[in-house]
Amino acid sequence: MEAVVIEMKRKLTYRAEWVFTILSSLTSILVQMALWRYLYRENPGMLEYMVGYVIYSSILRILYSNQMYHLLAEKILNGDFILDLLKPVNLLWFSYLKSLGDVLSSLLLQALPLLILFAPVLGTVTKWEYLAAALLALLAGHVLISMIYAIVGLMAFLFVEVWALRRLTEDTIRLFSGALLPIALFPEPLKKAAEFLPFHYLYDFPLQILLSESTDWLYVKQQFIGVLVWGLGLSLLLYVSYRLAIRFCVVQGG
Amino acid sequence: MNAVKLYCMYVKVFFKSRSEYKVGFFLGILANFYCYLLTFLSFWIVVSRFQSIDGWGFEDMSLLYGLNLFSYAVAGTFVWYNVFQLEKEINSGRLDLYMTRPMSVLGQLICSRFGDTFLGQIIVTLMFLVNALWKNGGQLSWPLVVYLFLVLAGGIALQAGAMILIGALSFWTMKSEKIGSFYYYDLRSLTHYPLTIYPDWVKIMLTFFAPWAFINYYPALVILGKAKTTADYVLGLCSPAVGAGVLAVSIFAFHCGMKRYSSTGN
Amino acid sequence: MGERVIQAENLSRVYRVRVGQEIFFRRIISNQFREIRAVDRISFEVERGETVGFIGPNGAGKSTTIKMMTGILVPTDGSVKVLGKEPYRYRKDNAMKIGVVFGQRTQLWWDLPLSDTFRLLKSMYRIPDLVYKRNMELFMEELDLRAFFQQPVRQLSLGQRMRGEIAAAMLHDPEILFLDEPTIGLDVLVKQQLRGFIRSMNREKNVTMILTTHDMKDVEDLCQRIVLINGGKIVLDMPVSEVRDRFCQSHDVVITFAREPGMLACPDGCEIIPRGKLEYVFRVDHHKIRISDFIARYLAEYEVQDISIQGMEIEEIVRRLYQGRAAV
Repeated sequence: MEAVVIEMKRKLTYRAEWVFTILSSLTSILVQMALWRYLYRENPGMLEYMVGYVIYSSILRILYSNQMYHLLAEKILNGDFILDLLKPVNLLWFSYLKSLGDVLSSLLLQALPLLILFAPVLGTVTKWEYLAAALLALLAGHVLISMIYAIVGLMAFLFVEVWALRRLTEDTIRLFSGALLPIALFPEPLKKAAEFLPFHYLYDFPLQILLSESTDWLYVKQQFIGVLVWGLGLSLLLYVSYRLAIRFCVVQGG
Repeated sequence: MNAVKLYCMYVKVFFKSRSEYKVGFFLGILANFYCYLLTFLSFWIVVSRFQSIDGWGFEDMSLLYGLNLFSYAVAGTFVWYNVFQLEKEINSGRLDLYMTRPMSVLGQLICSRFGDTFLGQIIVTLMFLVNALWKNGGQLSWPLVVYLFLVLAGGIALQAGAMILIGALSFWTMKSEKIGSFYYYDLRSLTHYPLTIYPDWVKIMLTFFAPWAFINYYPALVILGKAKTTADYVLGLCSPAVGAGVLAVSIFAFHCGMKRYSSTGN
Repeated sequence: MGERVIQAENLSRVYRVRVGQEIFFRRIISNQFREIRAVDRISFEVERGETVGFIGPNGAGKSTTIKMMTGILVPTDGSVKVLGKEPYRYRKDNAMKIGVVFGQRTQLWWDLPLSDTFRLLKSMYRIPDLVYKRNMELFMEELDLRAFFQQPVRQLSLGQRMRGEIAAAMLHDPEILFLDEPTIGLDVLVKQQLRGFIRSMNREKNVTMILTTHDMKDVEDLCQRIVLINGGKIVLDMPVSEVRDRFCQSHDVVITFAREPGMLACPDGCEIIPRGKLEYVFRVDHHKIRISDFIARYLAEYEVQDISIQGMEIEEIVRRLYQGRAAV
């Protein structure tokens, strides 16, 4: 809890930065809205959907701004990793809490104003009945992305230029998670690729639940099963990477 | 041209020092290449779904975005690392060191870091630009080709000028990062799409308040023959001049900033 | 009276800081200013070929003064002229004629060997081939650079790096060399070598040297003159030899006895500092007691194994001056 307060205080001291960060999100929302307003000028139903999509997507971006990579990779690269292993707290868990603090504070400081600002629009567009399912999906997404970035961060023990891996992951997520465009719009081969990757659980899936007129419960269940499978797979991978990282660093001497 | 020779020397030295980090060098280029490849891909997805964006097909969008990205990348190669991020040089004390040398400080800043990672963007963008121009081949006359080069040069000058200006902000206030980044990056992102999809005031803002429309929009109108009003056409022709102007202003601002730096202390 | 290469007249540097306080989330800024006089109307002159040591406590105004002399900072009042011109107005001209060595910051290219940095500097300072070759030979010899000349700078030890820094600063035959804490962190041998080089540059090329340092041995070895700056003002400006004569009040006589001496006679003007069971330091004020008499007495009365006499070190003198204990 303290982590959240500390992060908030820190962010508030740079007030101008805070304002401009929100302005920046705002601009990107407006740009996208303008685009969809034009593209769907004949289709008010889809337009409504996309407006909600765009706003929520920006908010989700804040939810998924994950520090796990930085915390882990930097520690491995400068040797602190070993020192932290000596502490009685599990490093992964500890890093997660720190990252959680950052996410929560960002949510409060950046997502909340956006939510408030766009509340009237969102109010009419969201399908409230499905909120519970959507929140569950978001939680799953949060866990997934934390694991993904943790794994990428741990890869630092393998090679120094791990930032490239992070960049590649980040950029792939940007497109294939549905953050920019709903996957339904993708042409067939790309659509298949997107569904194969776990990233669509981050944006496309929750947003579908939240905004679609009617929800195909079978589809939702299938997706959740997919989430579960990926979750298990990633946790295994995470565990393995963690162990390998420890072994590697201990042998190397940090 | 002594300055050019000196710059080449610096670049050679830079690459020599990088030769130990070859992997990082190629990865940086790859990462940038991939990132912007996906951006072009996202345009392609939208266009393939909707046939066009207000009459702009994929090649048109490629040209529009390509002009923007290309001039950004080339400008960044010279100026991004040390001038846009001037704050770092001030804090580390390197700026003081440069002041004790018999060479222009701005020149030293540009020379001491070659933005090698921008090569990734340049490669990707050239691919799509060339493709777009090829597809439009029939419409390209010699004057238009000359104009294209002028526009690219002007765009590079404009973007370099913007980076220098925002870097120079550090002379007046510390922690100017976010504001500068908003003005330059976020507002410029509006020009990724044809300005006709926005309300009119956006176009006016991007012409007079933050002149990013001169980088790619007006020139694209001229090259693609999409200029609907005389005003648009003229603005398009003037774009290279605007670029040169912005660069001149930014260099002047930089010198003012340096004066202030030595007068108010650090 | 030699040529005056640096002239400072009523040189001042005042910082104005807005007074403000934080209340809750807002910063209340008043229209009041607080003036910090970093450098307060100092005047001094340096002749060609002199080696002047600028010393003083941290924050006293030394680095501010150096910044004004190298053209980085503009004075708020008064003036300083280096080789006839104001450095902040004629920055590039001034830069051609001066060299700067920062003890804590490097001007060498980090990932590359010295050879590459030198080649770049040759271009930047437009050094003629002949001069370049001559200086390179000289530096290779005197600073023993050949051993590590082709190694990347980041692999060099601090001592090797500093030798490279000084060579780099001298490459274009500057008339004045500014050294900002050049010997900080170096071991004794390297310090000696560096000081030797600085002395020989001073002698052979008649380069004027301005040195800031906290190491008093630097001052003793290199400087003909000391300028002590404290609180933005020049507290002291005199040749090193005079400093000792004027401020050295006492000598330390270190006596090692053969057996425990028991009660020691302590006349007025003598301070006894034990340094072990058999070793004692007698701080003798030579205005009150004649050293020779003192020594004779002790030699007569006690069995003495070893004896040595030390003048008060510059360090002690300066320490007292910093603290304001010694009157100027």
